[in-house]
Formats: sequence, structure tokens, C-alpha cells
Amino acid sequence: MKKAKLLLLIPITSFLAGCVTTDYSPFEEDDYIPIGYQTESITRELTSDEEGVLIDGLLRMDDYVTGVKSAIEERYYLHSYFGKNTPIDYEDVDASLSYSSEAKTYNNDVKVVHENEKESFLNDYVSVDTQEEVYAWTFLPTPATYEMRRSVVRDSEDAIVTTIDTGAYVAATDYQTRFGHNAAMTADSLLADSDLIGMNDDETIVGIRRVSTSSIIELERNSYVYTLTNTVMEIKLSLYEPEDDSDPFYLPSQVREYGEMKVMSEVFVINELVKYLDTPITICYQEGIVEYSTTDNGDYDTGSIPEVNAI
Amino acid sequence: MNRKMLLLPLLSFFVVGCNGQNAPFTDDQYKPKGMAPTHKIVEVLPSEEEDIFDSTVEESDAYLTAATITSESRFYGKKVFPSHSSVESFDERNSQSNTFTRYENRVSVFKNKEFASRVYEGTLIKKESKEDTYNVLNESEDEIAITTDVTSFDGENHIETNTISYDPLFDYETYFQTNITDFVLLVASGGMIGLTKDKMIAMQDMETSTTPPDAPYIAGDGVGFIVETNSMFEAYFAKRVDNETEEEYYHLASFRLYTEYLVLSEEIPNMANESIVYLTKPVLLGYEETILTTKLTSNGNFVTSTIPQPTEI
Repeated sequence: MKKAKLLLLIPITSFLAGCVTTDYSPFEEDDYIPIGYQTESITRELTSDEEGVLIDGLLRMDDYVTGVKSAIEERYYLHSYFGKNTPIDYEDVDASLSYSSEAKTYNNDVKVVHENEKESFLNDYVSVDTQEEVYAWTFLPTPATYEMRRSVVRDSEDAIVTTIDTGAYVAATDYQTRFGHNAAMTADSLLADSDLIGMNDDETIVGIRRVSTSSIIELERNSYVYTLTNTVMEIKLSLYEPEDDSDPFYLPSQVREYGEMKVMSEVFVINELVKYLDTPITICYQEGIVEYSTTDNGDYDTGSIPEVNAI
Repeated sequence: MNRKMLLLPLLSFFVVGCNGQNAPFTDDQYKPKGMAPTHKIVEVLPSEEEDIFDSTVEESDAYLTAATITSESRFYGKKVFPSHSSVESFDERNSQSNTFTRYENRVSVFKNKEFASRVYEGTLIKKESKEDTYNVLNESEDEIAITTDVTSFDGENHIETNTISYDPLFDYETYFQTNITDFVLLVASGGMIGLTKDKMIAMQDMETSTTPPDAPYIAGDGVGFIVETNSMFEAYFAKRVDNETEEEYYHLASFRLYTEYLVLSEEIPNMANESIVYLTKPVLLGYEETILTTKLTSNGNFVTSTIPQPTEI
């Protein structure tokens, strides 16, 4: 009986051992290669002067950031790697998500966020691709009120334009909330979370956090596998010299977060000796990259904001 | 004896070379001496020598004109467990050197240097620092100029000079003497003591401990391994005759402290009754080695014009 059980498991484990993420993807035209846990090299500590400029920058950077670009890539290869042994609480499916977003603030108090999301699901009986494009405008219909209007296009459907928020607006207190990009809050929080902060050879401040968690996850068919979850966060800040101020400060140039789950062992059942893999296999990952800009975006043509066509 | 002399270099080359400990730091030329003592104890310490040792060694620091301490440590937590590494796993190198030199012209120089490098999965963190101190006593021996030349881990260099009052009775040991022997005696107490073939007093000890199966060394992915810790120290004291009093004394000649960590097993099985598989050849996980050497001969005069000038603020 035990032999028969083993025979069932062998094809799965052999397949597992034969796959590596870098040269494997069930999704057509998937040429995304994550940066992964490769981070900048910190080569020295910050001087006390540099620390001062860094802290000063946290108080000033939001006045200069006019845009933020972000991209997220997610892959799950649970169907390919586990088949019917899919982990409990997970779907037996390979999934891919590519998300990009660009937010810009214009001089005439308009903020436009443009998002694109493409999602794919794949297994023996499902092969689905969906796409969604979203625009969101924040603008001031009157000097004392704001409005957020959104346009959503799913696949080949027509755009649905709705107003998703309105309210009173006071420039002195509400500008950052409505038109800002929260660069300082993000930078402050990520630097506080960093285990390593220092300078690289290009005089870029680098903050890094590395966290690993090992666990045994339960699969269908009363089986188990040893896994390791790795997450890496990296924030890079470069010296920025504003045109209107002689004091430069450090501005986040990029924030990147990478998370992955690796399978460290072959699939095993209760009372079976665990066999560890020589080369652990990445079964899912997520990578997000955020970049800030200080470009002057000029004025936005508010006449191009579409009219609401749905409630 | 000649045969032994031939074998020693060959053996140390082979053993060290097999550990592969230069990787992952490509420019790492350091090869530790390891667990084998440099000299063998061949004779019980005669009580007459013991008396000389006990009555003179604690004051013998005064005879030392120079002392050098090098400390090297390596940790290969990532390299040794390629299948069990996480993003928190790293390899690490730390190299430190501390030197003390006393010159004839009322100058002493202390130099400290540290280099640390840590390699994560995809991250290299390098750090280097140094601190040099130059003590120059004036002719009337009532003032001492202390120049410190510090380059910290942030790369900034700062030099400053302070001149303070000096009292030969109380301050000599602080500025013109290495005070290392007490520390060595403290570390070396409790081991074996005897005479070497060259009539040096030797203090030596070796210890081994192994992680129990229920409290193993944990690799990056949470899997346990049996790891053995081996440590040893050796201290040698040479006999000299005081030029003025013509009395014999013992002084610290050299000292070495070595600790190594060896992985002894494959992964500890997930089942309690399953046997642990022990490796036929243990794998070096890391080591720490500190070597101290001393000198009694004159260092001549120090060229004080080479002392760096204070940084302008």
C-alpha cells in the first residue's frame, strides 16, 4: 500500500524537481524576469551630515514630487507544480497578474491616475485572460470642492464613467491628500522598517529589509511540503537639487518589494521521511516597483475629462 | 624532526586548501592556523620556573616594545547551505588588526584597522574603518600630545590633536605600554601548562561541543543541522634577563585563540526515530582566529613629521 502511494507521488515530485522559475512559465509571451532578491550593494554607513539631509528631505520631498509610476508582476504556478496536490485553501490554477499605474499631478490642481491590469488564469480546464484599464481624475469643479471621477474599461466593453467621491476642498489642508503622492510617508515608513541603511558606490542611499519565514504547507491528498517565504524591500534615495532652493535633499528614486515562496522539499505524507531538494523551486512571486518623478507636468486639459455616463 | 618540519607546511596547505574557505570572498588570502598548537608541551613546568613566572609575568608588559593582534573571522551561512539559504542568509568576513609600537623618542603609536564584509543573496555590504593614535611626550615629560586619525565606517576621516598634562608615575602605562598579559592570563587559565622544547612556558587548551539533536543549528530555511564547535588557545611565554637588574623574567611571546564551527550532519530528519546521517567529512561553517605577537627589541625613533595634521574645521 505504501509503495502504491509512493508511486502516485513520484511523478509529481519528479516534475517538481525538474522545474525552475527562471526558465519556466505556462503563460505565452511572458518575458518578465524579476529582479528578485538582488539588491544594491551598501558599501559604507551614512555620515551624520547625510543623515541630516535625509531627515530634512522627508519634510520637503512632498512639495516636489509630481508623479509616481508603479508596476506589479505576480505569478503563481500552483497548477503546474502541484496539480491535484494543490495547497489547501489555494486554487489549482496558474495565475499571472501584470499591473501598471502612473499618477501625475498637474499645475492646475488636477491629478490623473492611469492604471492597466492584465490577469490570466490557466489550468487543464480554464484559460482566461482579462484586462482592465482605469483612469481616475481628481479635480476642482469649484475652488472649494473636489471631485474624483473614474473611467473603467474591462476587456472590449465600453468605458463606464462614474463620480466616486466629492467633497469640500481647502487648499491649505487638503492639497497633499487630494493631489499629493505620499512620498515622504512611504520613505519614512520603509526606512524605519529597513534592517540595513547605507550608501552605495553611486552615492545613493539604500535601505534594505530581508525577511524569511519557513513553514510546512498542507496539500490536498493528505500531503505536505516544506516551503520558505522570502521578502525583500529596497528603497533608493538620490540627492535632488530643487530649482528653487540651494539646499539639496534625498528623494526616493525607487522602491521595490519582492516576495516569493519556494518549495524546499519533495511532497511527503505523514510518517514519510522528508527529502530536501538540491535546488529549491520558486512556486510564486510578486514584485512591485515604484518610481517617483519631479517633472513639471504643466496644466491638464480639464475639458478632456469624460462626462459621467453611469450612476 | 626534519621530517616533521617538512610535513607541517604540506599538511596545513592541504587541510586549509580543502576547506575552500577563500570563497566567497575572492580576495581573501587568509589561511587560519587552525586547531593544531604551534608548539608541543614536552616537559612539566619545574617549580623554579613557575616561581619566576608567577613573580614576573604580570609586570612583563613593560618590556614589550611592540604588540600586534590580528583577528580574522569568517562565517559561511549562505555558502555552506546553498539548498537551505534564505534572503536572510549571509557569508561574512571580518578582519581586524591592532598594533602598539613604542619608540625611543617618547613616542608611541596605536593603530587599529577593521574591515567587514557581508554578502547576502545578491547584496554585498562592505565596511572599512581605522583609528590611529600617536602619543608624543614633550622633553620635560609633563605634557603629551595625542593625535587621533580616525576613518569611520561612513568613510569620513577626522584628525585631531589634544595636548594634556602627563604624570610619568600614573600615565606611563596608559600611553607607553601594551597591557595585554593580564587578559591573556585570564583567557589561558584553566588549561595545560608546561615547557616546550625551546624552554618556553606554554599554556594550551582545547574544547569541543556539539549541538544536541533537539537543539540543532538552524539554517536559513528553518532546517536543523548538527554543528560542532571546536576551540583552542595557546599562549607562550619566553624567558629573558633584565639588562639592569640581571634578574630573569618571563614575558608574553605569542598568543592564539581559535574557534571553528563544523557542520557534521545532513539535514536532521523530520521524524524522531529516524537516524541522523553524519557526514564523512565535516564542512567548515565558520571560524574566528586571534593571533597576538610581541617584540622586545628597540623600534628606534619615530619620525614625528609623519604624524598627520589635524583636520581643519
